[in-house]
Amino acid sequence: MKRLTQYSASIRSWLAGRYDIGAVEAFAEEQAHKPLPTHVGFWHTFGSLSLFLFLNQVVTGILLMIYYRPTVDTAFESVRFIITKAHFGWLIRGLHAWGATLMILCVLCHMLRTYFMGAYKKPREVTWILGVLIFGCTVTFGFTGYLLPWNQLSYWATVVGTEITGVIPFVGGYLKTLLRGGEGITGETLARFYVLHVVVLPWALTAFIAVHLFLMRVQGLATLERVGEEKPIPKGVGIPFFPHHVLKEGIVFCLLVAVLLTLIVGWPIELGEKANPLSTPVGIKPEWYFLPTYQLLKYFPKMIGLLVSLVPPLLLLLWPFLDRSPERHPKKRRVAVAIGITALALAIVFGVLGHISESTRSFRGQKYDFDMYSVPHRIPPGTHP
Amino acid sequence: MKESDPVSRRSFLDYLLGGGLVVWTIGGVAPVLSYLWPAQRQGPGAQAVSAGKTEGWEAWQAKMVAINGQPALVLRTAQGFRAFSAVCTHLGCIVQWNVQRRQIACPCHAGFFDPNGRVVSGPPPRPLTELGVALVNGEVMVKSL
Repeated sequence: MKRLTQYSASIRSWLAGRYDIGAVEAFAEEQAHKPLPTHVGFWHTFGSLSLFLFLNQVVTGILLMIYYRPTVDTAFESVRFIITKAHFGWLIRGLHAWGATLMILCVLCHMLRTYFMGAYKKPREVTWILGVLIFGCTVTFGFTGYLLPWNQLSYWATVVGTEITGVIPFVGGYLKTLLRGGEGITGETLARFYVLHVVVLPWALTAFIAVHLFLMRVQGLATLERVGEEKPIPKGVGIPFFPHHVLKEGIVFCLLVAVLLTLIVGWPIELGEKANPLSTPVGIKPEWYFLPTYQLLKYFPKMIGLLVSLVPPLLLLLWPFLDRSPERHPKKRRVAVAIGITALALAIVFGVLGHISESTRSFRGQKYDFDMYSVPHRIPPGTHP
Repeated sequence: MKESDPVSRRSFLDYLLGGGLVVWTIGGVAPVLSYLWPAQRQGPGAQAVSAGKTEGWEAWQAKMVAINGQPALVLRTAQGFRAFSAVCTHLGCIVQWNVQRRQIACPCHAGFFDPNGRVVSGPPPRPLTELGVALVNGEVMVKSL
């Protein structure tokens, strides 16, 4: 132990002879002990959880790339190789697939916390916009990554997902061809999605996250005071970032790892059958985070449905400029809170409707057939739908 | 705390926390290193490969065949058929049959093996790995031993 201290002291003096190490240490010290507003609690840990999950996606993604082969003839087989032959391949793929789902969930919770606590208001509008872009990147990651195993579900979900872009007037056809790399979903589409998934999106997301974190650190976390009336937190009053908040983050981090491992072992994500462009399986559904949009699109003609589904992301992006009230505390923003809860409830309702649509389910011993609008139709006993 | 107690409660917790971190790190790094290690694929290895018909294969003639993507040298001697891995035991170059010398020669560092695969001269440290040969319906079948 003593020797270790000696070594680190000599490394420090070597560095100090060349760089202004004192300034770096002072900066790190200030950042580590920065006092946080007193209302900061467990709800404020979703940001760092999202960051951790992003790092998890990067590391496991790099590991998956070692065995994954992005061609029509080899993609499915290489994923099967990873989960059946490569040592701990099932764990690496599980961490990546379940990590993606949990990352979207954590980013959503982080956004909800920011919304309800009014943290997006002046002077933090740009941080919020970057956050919305980060959410968009995360969801696009999900969409592009879903195709990569080249199984029936992923193939047909991509067929439907990319078909929607074709509805846009004038440019829709070109956009669809550009996205697919041709008329249909082929090896060209797989290559495009792969490049987006492993090169373009990771760098875009890294850049967004870097600026988002930089702004968060420079401007500090928002308090619950009115816009323009935020007072600096006096030393000894706020919650120290280290160790108090870091400990809270450590606790939720351990819980997250436990949940992640439980999901991987208890509910492994099936690989299913290899994509067959000649046969569409029954009941193709997108991933859970696309279900509300998927269901919403059914109630409108194609073009209007697309416009309607563009409203929520646009509202999110422009929200700091639409909500002009200076209040931050949720109790003083009844309208904004009501809008938030309604939007959340609508998303959940449409998501559930999307989930149960086009399926047969039993309820109190009675079988029901749910049509595409999720309207239940009673099946008389003894008949087979 | 008693004077004789060398470990305080605080340092005990420190050890516990440090030990926990070490276990976490090992738990994370071990599967990754294991994953990076190539998974052995020996499935098709048991399959025998045909080196050709015995008919028209004269004594002291050799052929090369691939078994599992690895080259093998099949030789007809006066006594019968012999097969060896064609990977030189020195630095992995591919050996060739030298008809004039009736020896297996490595082109890289002048290593020579006799028709039994034993080292005659040069740097190879070990004899060539022998492979199994079986005659099936007039065909020479080679498989790894």
